[in-house]
Amino acid sequence: MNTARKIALWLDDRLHLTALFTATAGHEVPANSGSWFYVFGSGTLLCFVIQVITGACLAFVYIPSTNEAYTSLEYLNHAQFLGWYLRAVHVWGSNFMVAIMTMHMIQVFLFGAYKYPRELTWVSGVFLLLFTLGMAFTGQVLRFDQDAYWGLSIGASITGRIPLIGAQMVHLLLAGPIIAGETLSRFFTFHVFLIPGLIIALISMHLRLVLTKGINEYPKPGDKVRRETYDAKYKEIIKTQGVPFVPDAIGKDLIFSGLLLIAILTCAAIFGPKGPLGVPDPTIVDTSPRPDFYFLSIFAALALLPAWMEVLILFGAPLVVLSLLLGLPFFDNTGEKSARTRPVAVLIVIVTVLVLGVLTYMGETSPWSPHMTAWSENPIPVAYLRHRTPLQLRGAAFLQNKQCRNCHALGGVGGERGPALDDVATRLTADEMVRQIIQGGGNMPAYGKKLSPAEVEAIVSFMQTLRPNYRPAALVSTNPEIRK
Amino acid sequence: MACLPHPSNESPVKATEFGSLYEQNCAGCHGTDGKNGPARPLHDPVFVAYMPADQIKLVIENGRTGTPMPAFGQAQGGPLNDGQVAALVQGIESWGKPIDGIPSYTAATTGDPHSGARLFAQNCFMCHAKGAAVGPVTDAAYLTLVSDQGIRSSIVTGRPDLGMPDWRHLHVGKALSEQEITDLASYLSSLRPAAANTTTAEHSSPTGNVPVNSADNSAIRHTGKKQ
Repeated sequence: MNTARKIALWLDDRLHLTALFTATAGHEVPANSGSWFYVFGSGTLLCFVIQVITGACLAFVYIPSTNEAYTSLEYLNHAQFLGWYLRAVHVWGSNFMVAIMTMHMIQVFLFGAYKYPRELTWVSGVFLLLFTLGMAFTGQVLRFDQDAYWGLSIGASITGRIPLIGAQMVHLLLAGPIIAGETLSRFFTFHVFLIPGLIIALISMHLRLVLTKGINEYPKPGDKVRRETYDAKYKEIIKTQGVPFVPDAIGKDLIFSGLLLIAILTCAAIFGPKGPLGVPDPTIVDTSPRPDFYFLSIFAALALLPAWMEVLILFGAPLVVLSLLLGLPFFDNTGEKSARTRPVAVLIVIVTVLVLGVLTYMGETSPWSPHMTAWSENPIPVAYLRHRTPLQLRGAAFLQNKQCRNCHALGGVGGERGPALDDVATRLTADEMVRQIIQGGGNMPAYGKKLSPAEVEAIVSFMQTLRPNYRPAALVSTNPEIRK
Repeated sequence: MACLPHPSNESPVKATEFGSLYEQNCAGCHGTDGKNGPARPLHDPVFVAYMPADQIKLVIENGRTGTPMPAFGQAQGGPLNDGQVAALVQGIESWGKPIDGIPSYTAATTGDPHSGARLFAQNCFMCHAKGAAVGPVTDAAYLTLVSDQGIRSSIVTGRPDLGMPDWRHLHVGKALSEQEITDLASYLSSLRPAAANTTTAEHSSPTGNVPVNSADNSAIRHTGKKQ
């Protein structure tokens, strides 16, 4: 026996490495679980490992202080050798982690893998999702720029509306009543110590459950889960078709992880790091803060809610969603697993993906936000200015100057918050226009105190010309001639 | 190699290029390429020859109270720094060319409104009478929203993009003299109502509510007539 082998055997005897391997990586899994559908879990884990490594590297340079955070990010982007790439890999790793985790969740849901006896695996997965989103939010705050500052302000305002304990919750979130030095330290601690620690603990539990309760066999239609018989059946499957995870079933996981790694590194190289976007400055309000993409759907939903639903949705929806997610494996504990025989499950996935997708798109384009620069950079279509009186031309200039265009489009250009004005004269009479401008209404603020009568007259005289193709102007509804 | 910054991640530098500055800040009112907007065309050799560069700079920085021209200088709360204003002035100046006999930017003498009224009837009435092709400039609301300087500038430069001739062609066969321009401008200024530039709030009812009733509000009264 040569020396190397002796040392190996000695180590194995002391550390029980072979036994550890057999019990973990080498555990038997159903042969049909070596499927392309089963690669997302390990993919998510790979993303997490990337995040831990790049995060630790970033922490060498990042300074969690309101004075220096921004500068240290700029230093990473511009001065530190490949610092930008490190930041890029970290942000793309997080994007991919959320995306792959979502796919993992959808796959588990569609394959009925949360059913008996894997309820706890699902529950720990739900918490992993929550903590990952927590990482995403705290990470976004650490990128201490305008988006981070205002995003956090909005988060704090929402928290402050919790009945009775709102103020205390804000204090807990911000480490004080306002965003200050302590806030950043708090988020740094959350992002670097607390949440990652919890995630590591939960991943251990998640994997432990995969070992004790086994990986879900590839579901077949008609193969129903029964609490009384499932354990014996699974044992039988392992006995007859079981293969060790390493090396037999891990192949596709490795290929997927390799591709994932390439995708992250490539995206990071091509698209670069995110931000920092602007010096966080509470006095600069000419900004349109937008959360990272994982929260865009929530951002859009909150922006589009009617005012009366706000409290209900703000505090009701998270509770409902969380209870549904956590309760799922308990009220849907047995029965069919295959997606082919569970149309409702498929429908739920499609509807959820569509709703979140549309909301994310809305969040990305945010058509409800005023285009703050439309007034000075989007010219009025020339045709609208031909053969107009001097007063109407003045009105057109005031329409720009008073920033009406930021919310109202003309010729398809401008804000989309309010209705386009191209045919406003066919909808409103002059009196109605004056009333709307002075008093506001709908989503529109009242401009009565910001405009002189002459300005209103000029703007309205221009707006009265806005009826394309000589369509008739709006008529006064009380005009007796109409009633005839 | 001390650093390797991401190509698309250079430190942000504020634009000082005339084209993009103009597009972002001026095009909305003065039109794409400086023509065909609701406000005065800037891409007009007559205008550029007529208005001194330091005045252009002043107006960009401080705007013109009571008119739709806002202040763009940072000292006035606007978005543009000194370098950007200078770039705009330079860009606008590049649209000009020397023009002989151009009237001075500001009036050297005081005008005579009576003579101005006669000149208006002779030279402007055809287009600017009530109901005429272009529409009135004697309208109270219009005069409230233009400055005296704006009136003078319009007489001198016209609106080439909309077909209004400049001072050389308002009177057939002969350019208007410096004094005639001043008289015309003073006539139009004299028609401006006394209570110009008050906000609607000051016209509101004693309870502080903005009146909905059209009889209470001059703005509504004027527009109502047009129907």
